[in-house]
Amino acid sequence: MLFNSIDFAFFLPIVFVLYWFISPNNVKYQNLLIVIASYFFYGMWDWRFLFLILFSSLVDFTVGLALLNQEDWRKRKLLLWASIFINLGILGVFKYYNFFVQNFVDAFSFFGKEIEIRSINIILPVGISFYTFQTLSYGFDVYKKKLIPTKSFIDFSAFVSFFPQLVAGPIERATHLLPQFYKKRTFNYELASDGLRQMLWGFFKKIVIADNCANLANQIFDNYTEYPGSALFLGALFFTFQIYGDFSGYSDIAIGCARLFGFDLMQNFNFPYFSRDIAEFWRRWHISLSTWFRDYLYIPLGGSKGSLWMKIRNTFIIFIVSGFWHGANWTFITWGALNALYFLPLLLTQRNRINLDGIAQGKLIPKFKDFIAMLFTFILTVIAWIFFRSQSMHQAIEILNRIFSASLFSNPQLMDVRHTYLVMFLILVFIVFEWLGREGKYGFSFVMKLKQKWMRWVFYCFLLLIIYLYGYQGEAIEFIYFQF
Amino acid sequence: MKKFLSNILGFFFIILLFNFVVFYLAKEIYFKTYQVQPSKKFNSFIFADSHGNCLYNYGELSNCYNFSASSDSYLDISRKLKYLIKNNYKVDRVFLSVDDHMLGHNRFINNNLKRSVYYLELSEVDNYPEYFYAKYLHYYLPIVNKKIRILASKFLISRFLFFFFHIKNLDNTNKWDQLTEFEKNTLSEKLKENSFTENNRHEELTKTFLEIINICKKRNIKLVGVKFPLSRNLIAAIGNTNYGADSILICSGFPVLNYKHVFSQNDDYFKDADHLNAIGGQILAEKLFNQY
Repeated sequence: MLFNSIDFAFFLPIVFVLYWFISPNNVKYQNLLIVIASYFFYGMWDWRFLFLILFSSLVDFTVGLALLNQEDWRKRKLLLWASIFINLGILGVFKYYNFFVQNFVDAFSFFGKEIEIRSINIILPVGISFYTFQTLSYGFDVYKKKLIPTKSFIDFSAFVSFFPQLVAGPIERATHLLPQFYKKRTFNYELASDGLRQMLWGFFKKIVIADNCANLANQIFDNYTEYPGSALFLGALFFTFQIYGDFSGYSDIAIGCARLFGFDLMQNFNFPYFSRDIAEFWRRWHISLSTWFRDYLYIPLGGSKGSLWMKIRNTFIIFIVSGFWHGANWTFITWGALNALYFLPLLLTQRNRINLDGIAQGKLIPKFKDFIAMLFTFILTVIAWIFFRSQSMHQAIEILNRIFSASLFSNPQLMDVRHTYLVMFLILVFIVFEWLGREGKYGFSFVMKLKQKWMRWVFYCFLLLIIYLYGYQGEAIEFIYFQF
Repeated sequence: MKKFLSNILGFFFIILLFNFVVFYLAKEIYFKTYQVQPSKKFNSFIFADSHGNCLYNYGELSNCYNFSASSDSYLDISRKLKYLIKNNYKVDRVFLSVDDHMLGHNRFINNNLKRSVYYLELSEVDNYPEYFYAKYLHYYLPIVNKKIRILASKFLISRFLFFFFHIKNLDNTNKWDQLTEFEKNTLSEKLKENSFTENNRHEELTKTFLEIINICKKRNIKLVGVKFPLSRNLIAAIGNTNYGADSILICSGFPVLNYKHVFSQNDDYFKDADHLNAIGGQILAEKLFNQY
């Protein structure tokens, strides 16, 4: 079920009413309702893959319980490896099998040996990377004794399949989300109304910004051989806003929706395009995944401790694995490696943690130096997104070749100039709102600074009107991150 | 919770208010011109999509009512024809568009089913929820109607631009005969690509088209196929592409008036690649009604 579908408009109020009005003080009932609603939510896409979620939940629940009574570190390690092996095994089969087979065959044919291995024709289950990482984090935390494993399978299933964040995150840590399922939830007006506000902002990002940008970016990327460098750069710009609007929009809807049910999910995006360097960008972009890799991969590898060579190695590993997490394609791996390259100068000069504070705090306009740094970082990310969006390395390189040529300064020759201008204007409105709300948890939170209630309502109506008038008018587009 | 629910209700009240505004807007710009009841004095009817609009009411002297509407597909035409029959209109002759694109997938996608439901009787449907959805929900709750959303959006933007910047027309396009040859060819190619998306005919449209033919046969209605004039640039772009509604009609024993090439040297009769202007329409009407 898509958040931006009519089905969800019926689903959410029904679950909300059942959750708060029927047996509101019974946590067990509420958790069971969450599991049923979440399985229904996921099953609307493809019910067959519900068994995969159930299996994954069963494995980690069992491993958790086994770890609870096991003090022998060798056996504990074995249990953890069993969980890792099964979870990554499932992910590997569904997501990476064909990629490895193809590269294996290509490598052999490069050396003159033709081999034949059959690829498998399977659908990638929506959100598999997200819930797999979430269940893995449970195993890690229980293993490290940071968390006491739950004895209730219902609670654990609710944690794994919690519908707001099931298919595209934020990837929650068991230490943060699971205890929330144990506690009695009471309706909190402030939390719920802020949740609705955040959902409204998420819908604006998705339907108005991301989907309109997608329309233009697809047109340009799919016909890249016919466009000059200027149009391709515009295409990359549109994709830059598409992916941000799409993914952070999803996160806003997910976080807002969870708040309606009394849950607090972690912030997933913190205005990444206002970053002054790449290190800051990665502290603000897809925070739940970045911190997951930091805690469960980067730090166990040694992190920033050790020799210079070790630091560089660890940086490259984490970025490349992050790229590979997004998809089984060399374009994603290159995107990850390119970000590692961007990061390297900061690491070597020990300037990767200089921009820890928010930009232009308490001020309306940033310093000139900060503005230039922000612009430079933004352009670097735009270039990296070209690899992420391209279907193949050949396409990405061809697009970059055209962008870095004289045709960058030619007329873009776009098909629908008026629509392009309209989308650019909407992006501008979006940036202004995000800038005004950058000290809050999401862009639209700036309306809370308005003291008059009617003024806040004017903004809500304005946003609704924009969604109605300028929302993408084609078929509802799936969220990009569903495919990861 | 009370405060929250009252805010939610307030929010829905605003949406309802907005729906009310859109409802009146939709009624004015979308439904009103479509949902009409012809006078019972007519015994001939023209059924076509926007190609038939150029005939305005030129046929009324010949007792012929122009029931054409932009985006009408055979599904909509079938509803209109059945409505006329059911309501005891004297239908002697039907002029039916059999243009090359009429059985295409694009004509099916861009249809008028949400509007032509006005002519649909409950007794004729199997699927009541769908009928209810189209006849009442889309009418009284126009904010969920995608087409109305697009029209309302265009309308409000044009009013906004006029109010603040005194820009009168969003579509600042030139007249067809004032365009360069390159522009005409480009627009024609684009139109061809949009109208002929698939190689095969649309199944449901073909089925309904055959049903219209059968109704006319059964009731002894004189059915006449009409192929409306196209500009020479579009004729060149289309080439031999045709979903073949004309040949089906000829095979069924009905005549087809082929005006496709008749104004191919008169760009001044066109307002765009495939639509005649008022002058072109008047000349076509004279030809059509002199012949029948």
